[in-house]
Amino acid sequence: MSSILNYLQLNISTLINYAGTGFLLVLYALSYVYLFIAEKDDRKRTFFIWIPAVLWLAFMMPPVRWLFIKLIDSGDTYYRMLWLIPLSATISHAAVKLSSGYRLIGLVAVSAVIVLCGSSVYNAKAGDVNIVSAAQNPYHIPDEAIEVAELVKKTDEGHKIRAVMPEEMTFYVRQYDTDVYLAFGREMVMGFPAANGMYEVMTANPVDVWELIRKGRERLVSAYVFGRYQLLSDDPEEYGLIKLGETENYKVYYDPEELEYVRSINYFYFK
Amino acid sequence: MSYVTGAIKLIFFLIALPFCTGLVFVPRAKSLKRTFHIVYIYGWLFNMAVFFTVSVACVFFIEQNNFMYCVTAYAILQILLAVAGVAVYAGRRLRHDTKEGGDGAASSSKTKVSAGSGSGSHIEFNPPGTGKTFDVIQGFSSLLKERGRRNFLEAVILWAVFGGLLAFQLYKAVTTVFFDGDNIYYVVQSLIATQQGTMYREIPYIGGSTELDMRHALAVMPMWFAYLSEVSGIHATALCRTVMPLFLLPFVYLIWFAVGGEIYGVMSSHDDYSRPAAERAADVGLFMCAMSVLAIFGSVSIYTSERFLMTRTWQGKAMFANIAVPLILLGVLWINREYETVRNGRTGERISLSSLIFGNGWYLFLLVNIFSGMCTSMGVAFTAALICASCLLSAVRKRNPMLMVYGILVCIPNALYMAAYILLK
Repeated sequence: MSSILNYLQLNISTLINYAGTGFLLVLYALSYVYLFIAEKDDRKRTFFIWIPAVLWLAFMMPPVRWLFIKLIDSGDTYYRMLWLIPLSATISHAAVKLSSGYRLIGLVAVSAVIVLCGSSVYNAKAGDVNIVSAAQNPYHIPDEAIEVAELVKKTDEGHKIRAVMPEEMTFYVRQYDTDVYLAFGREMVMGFPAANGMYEVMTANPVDVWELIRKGRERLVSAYVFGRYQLLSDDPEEYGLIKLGETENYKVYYDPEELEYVRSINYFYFK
Repeated sequence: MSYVTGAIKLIFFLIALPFCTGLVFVPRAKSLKRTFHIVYIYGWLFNMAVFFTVSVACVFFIEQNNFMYCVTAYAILQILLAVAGVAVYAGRRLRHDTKEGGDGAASSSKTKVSAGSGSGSHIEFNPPGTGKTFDVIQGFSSLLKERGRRNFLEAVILWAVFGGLLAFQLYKAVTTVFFDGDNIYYVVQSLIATQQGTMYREIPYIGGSTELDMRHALAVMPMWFAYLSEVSGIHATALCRTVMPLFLLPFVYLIWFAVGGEIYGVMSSHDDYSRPAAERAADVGLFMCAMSVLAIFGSVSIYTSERFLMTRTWQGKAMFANIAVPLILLGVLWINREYETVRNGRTGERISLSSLIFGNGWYLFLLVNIFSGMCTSMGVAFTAALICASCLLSAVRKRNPMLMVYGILVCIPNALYMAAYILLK
């Protein structure tokens, strides 16, 4: 009994999270009620009223969530059930039905309600973080990530280059060139770290350069990228790293000793 | 310049070939009006089903350089299917013209009209069963006849507004970056396929070979983008993030146009001739305007399908929510109309076994079920749930239990997919 209540509670919190500001669901509820009363066509009633009613019921039922978790996904993806309900189409159809005969006034009124109460995707945020920015190139990654990737690739002679770089760069470099391997990447954020403590060293303040190189050599890392904002324990060149180049916010080095070794073993395979 | 040649190649592989395929693989049910957009939607879906089969076979049965095998095999099949489509269509037209020619000069003047009667022996862009000729051009011309009416002006303004909204969305899709961590997985999987020649056998986050990624291996949508990148020569990341929204957003609206057409009786399986064409066109125009405004302002949380459409357009889950689901809704509308026709006997038309299998709705469900498996592994469970819920309701409303039986039967591919997914995971 308690697990049924737990699942019900989970469903309600999923619905609240999906609703966000609540505007879309409120507008949908109003449209639904209006169509329930005003829509007389049998086929449209099945489409806009009865099928969504079954889906809402299924969404809220604890056994459905239990089945979903057991068979499909134990993660928090149950909200996708709500994608099956045509929220926008129901609102749009209600708008068309309401504005019958006065469609242009209807367009202005409906647009005004949606614009004033809705949330524009072009100001979208994830939590408090703004996720929208202007594109700098067709890849939709920062120009600087391309510059960094090109600098790292300077030492590429047909083998793979494994590089260590600040976390923010790991999101972009492999979207430009998959010949650049990384010491750590998004798996750190996703919670299944593969690196041998390099992430911790790289994110420490200051960065222990020698410790990073020592650990890097265990992982066949031959390229190092440091952000100008990072505080380093020593100048990397003191430990034999050679500067490949700089960008506005990053400095790129390579480790000649490790590079020699990587080339000698044809790191992974030639292209 | 490379983007121009790339764009031309994309138009060929993404628009022309699927449309030609659709000429032969669009259902032959008499009650389906084979308008251009319906032919294209079926051709595209059929192409996707073939890609699913080819790519999954390559992923599981070829270990090295499997992507090149996939590209070669699918490109050949795609072209063959399109050639077959054109050949069959041309053959049917030829047979039809010969037959008309044989009927004499008197009947030849009626060729266009009789073409609309839908003998079923060839593909027409018309509503067979209604006895009225309707092709796209005639549809527009009948609309133009009403240009003196207020509804006509409304329709023109509403469609112009929708055109403006769509153009704005496309402009923003090209010039705006939406940061999303999942791109590091999906986009990079496409890029790995084109740059390393392997599918799902490299760790996308950091690189390096790995075991086959079973969780995603059946959801081959990133490989479809990789295929398009390979044949067009456009970098996979640029293709996914800049080029594909230019196709996917209009395609999503094309599907909603088909749904809107069904609701308001425009270019649908049964047009509502009791109302003027301009009035119906204005209704669909307002529907499309509201849909596109909601797409922009429906970003009320990070979970809504509107948000996914605009910020993750090229990801399988966004395509599932915004392409697969509306297509199933379209099928639901078709099926309800078809059975309504049968029950009420409006046209006296009976549903044959072949039209049950290849007719409105059921065949669409089959193709969408395969497509949803390409989008996301859990997509097949969702589409099965939606189809079964819709069929259950329709069966109750129409008092016809067979609707539920057919609904379960078309979900057999979903059951097989889920079984494979659970066993392999």
